[in-house]
Amino acid sequence: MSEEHSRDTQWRKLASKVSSKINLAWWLDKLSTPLLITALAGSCLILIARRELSNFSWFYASIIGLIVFLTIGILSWWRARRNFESPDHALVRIEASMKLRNKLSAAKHGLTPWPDLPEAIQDGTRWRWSRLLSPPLAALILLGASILLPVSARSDAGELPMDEPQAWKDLETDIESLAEEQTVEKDYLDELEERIDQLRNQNQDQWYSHSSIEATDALSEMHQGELDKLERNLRRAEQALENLQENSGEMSETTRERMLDVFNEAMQGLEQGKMKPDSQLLEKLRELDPENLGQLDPQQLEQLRESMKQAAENCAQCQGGSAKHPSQGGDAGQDWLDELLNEGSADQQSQGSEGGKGGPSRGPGSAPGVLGQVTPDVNSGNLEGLKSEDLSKSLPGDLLELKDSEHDVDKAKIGLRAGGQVDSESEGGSRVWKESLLPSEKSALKDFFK
Amino acid sequence: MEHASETEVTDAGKHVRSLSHALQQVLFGQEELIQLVLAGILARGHILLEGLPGLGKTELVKGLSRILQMETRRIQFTPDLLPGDITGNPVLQEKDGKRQFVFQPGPLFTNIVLADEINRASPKTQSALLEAMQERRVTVLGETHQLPMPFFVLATQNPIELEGTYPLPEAQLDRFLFKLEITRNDVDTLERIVSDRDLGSEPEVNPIMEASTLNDVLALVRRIYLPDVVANYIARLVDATHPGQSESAGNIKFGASPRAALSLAAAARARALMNERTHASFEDVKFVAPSVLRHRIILDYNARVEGLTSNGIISLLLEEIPFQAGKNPRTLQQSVSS
Repeated sequence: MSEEHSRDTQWRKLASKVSSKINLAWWLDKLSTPLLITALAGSCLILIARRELSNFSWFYASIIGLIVFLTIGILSWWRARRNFESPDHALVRIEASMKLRNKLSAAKHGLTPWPDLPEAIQDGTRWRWSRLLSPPLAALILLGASILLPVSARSDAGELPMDEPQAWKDLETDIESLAEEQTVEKDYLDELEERIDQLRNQNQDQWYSHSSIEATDALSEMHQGELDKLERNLRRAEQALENLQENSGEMSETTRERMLDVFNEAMQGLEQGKMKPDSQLLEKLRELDPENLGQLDPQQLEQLRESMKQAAENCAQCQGGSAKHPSQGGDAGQDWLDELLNEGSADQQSQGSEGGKGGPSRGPGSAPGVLGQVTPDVNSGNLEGLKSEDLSKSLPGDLLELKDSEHDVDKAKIGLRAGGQVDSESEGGSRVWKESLLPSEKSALKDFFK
Repeated sequence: MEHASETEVTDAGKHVRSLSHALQQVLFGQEELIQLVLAGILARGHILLEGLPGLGKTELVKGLSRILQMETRRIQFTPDLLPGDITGNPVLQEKDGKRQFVFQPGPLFTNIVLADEINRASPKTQSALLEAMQERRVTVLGETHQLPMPFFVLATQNPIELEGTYPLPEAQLDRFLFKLEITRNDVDTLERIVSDRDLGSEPEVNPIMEASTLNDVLALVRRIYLPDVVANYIARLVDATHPGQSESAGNIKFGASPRAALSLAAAARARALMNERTHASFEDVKFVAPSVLRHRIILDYNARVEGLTSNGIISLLLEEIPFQAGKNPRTLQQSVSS
């Protein structure tokens, strides 16, 4: 009985082992395809991550890979589970492959004793190594390639600060230089700075929007206008002072009056302008009595004039927020834009039917150069003259020639006549032979055709 | 029901083995055919023997009847044979001054019926055999008469002389447990036949088994254990004969019936007993499957065009359907053919 029990146990252990092998095979079978697909996707992701992320972490990548592998393994096991075999099924597999004529099934039923366990046990299956190893090997190769392929991380354009509009930089430069030289009243500079900050504080995506460019343009024009105005008033005031100082004894009363008016107008302009000169300079100019310049210390007056001249120079040297046009004495920093805009039409500055220059202030028509390089006009195409100047470059549809003529119509009137009668003579053939040729010509032709 | 014990099976196996030896003295060189005929008899089935004339079909049946000591009748089927000629007819008789119909039993009322050239009878006569084969009784004029037990029909038919024949209807074919094809003998067997036999004389065979012993053995066959896995194999095999249920059934128009599954189980049990085993096995099913299924599957037109036969398709089916229910994963391959 104990021997019988021992054989029973041995066969059942064997069946458990075989069923484990079959179930493992099912799991590996279901795992292979997802493993291959995941390895392919994973290797692509690794390559992309290595390319896109400058701080790619292998540690986290390994952890994520491990989690993904475990998930796939569990899902594959779940899928393979429906095909799993119990030890009882494995017992049938063994008795079928070992041709035991269902002795094991009968023994399990208690009908016959358990047979002796043979030395060589076979379950009728063997591993198909090519099928088993191909997917993991392919997955390893894919992942290895994605890890070992030399890929350098791309410098992330998104992290670099966006280049702000050049006009803002120009205005900032003006503010700095004007504040350093103490040429202009500080309130104006603060207000200008505040407006630039307002523009800068909006979303970076909006920096180059139409409204932002228009606002920047308006600010630059306003600043440029104020600079021009201040410079002009300072120069006029300085010129008037110089004349009054140097030629006070020689000039007539009318001229003196006119100089004083000029000085006063300039002073009025300086005081009323948005951009006022430095408060100290303005105070000195206010205290100055132009009618009694003789009473002043010439050295102090000279110094005052120098200050005004210097301030005007400072204003002239300012960038003007890129609003200056080359024709208005613009700076070199604007040249590249002008060149670009003037491509192929350097001599077409005036507004008209020609192409504009781009930007919010452009004129009508399309910007030059958008359809490619403009070639010099060779007077080809759409020729309106009767005679084409260059027929080799004529285009389909071009009018090449007009001719004023009539159709060649026989206008001779033909009345009633009998059938078969011919009034008009023919023009060639036998008529020529009979009626047109001279006898000498006839003989010559006969000789020729002999 | 109590399963057959090893002792019972061994005793019965000895009897059957002696039957087999005796039949081999009647028909030389047809061991497998004799095994199948005995399996059919033990499974209480009717057998259709198909083969060319002179191969020993009738001789086999006559030998079997002598060995089993059973009453045997031979019916030579002809086109003018009427149903009443085989089932029996009521005859008007006068008894005690009264006239009444008295049933006169036909040749069916015997243990073994040799239906020679069964396909020569008209369908009407062939159908008269239906009730007798399936229910082992005959009904004439509304009166049912039980046939003696055991009752076997061993029919023969000639596959080449088709003129003036009536192919057996599918319903009747299904009632035959086996359809056995008798093949020609090899040279050694022919030499033995020529040496041991004379033309026109029958071989001498001694009776071996009585009817009561045969009935005991038949009862024991039913007690042979059919494991669940073998029953499952039979079910899968029969199911696979239907179109769309297996790759091999691609050219089958109609598959086997549940009666085929029952026949397979009974035949497998019988063969297990012949091999002195208390349980049937996959191998038993595989051995009897061609004989059980070949007349129960109907091939389509494409199969005929492609020259496929029932035997070929059954061989493919047996290769395709594994013994165990589950299929193998693709990471494993079959190392042993079943």
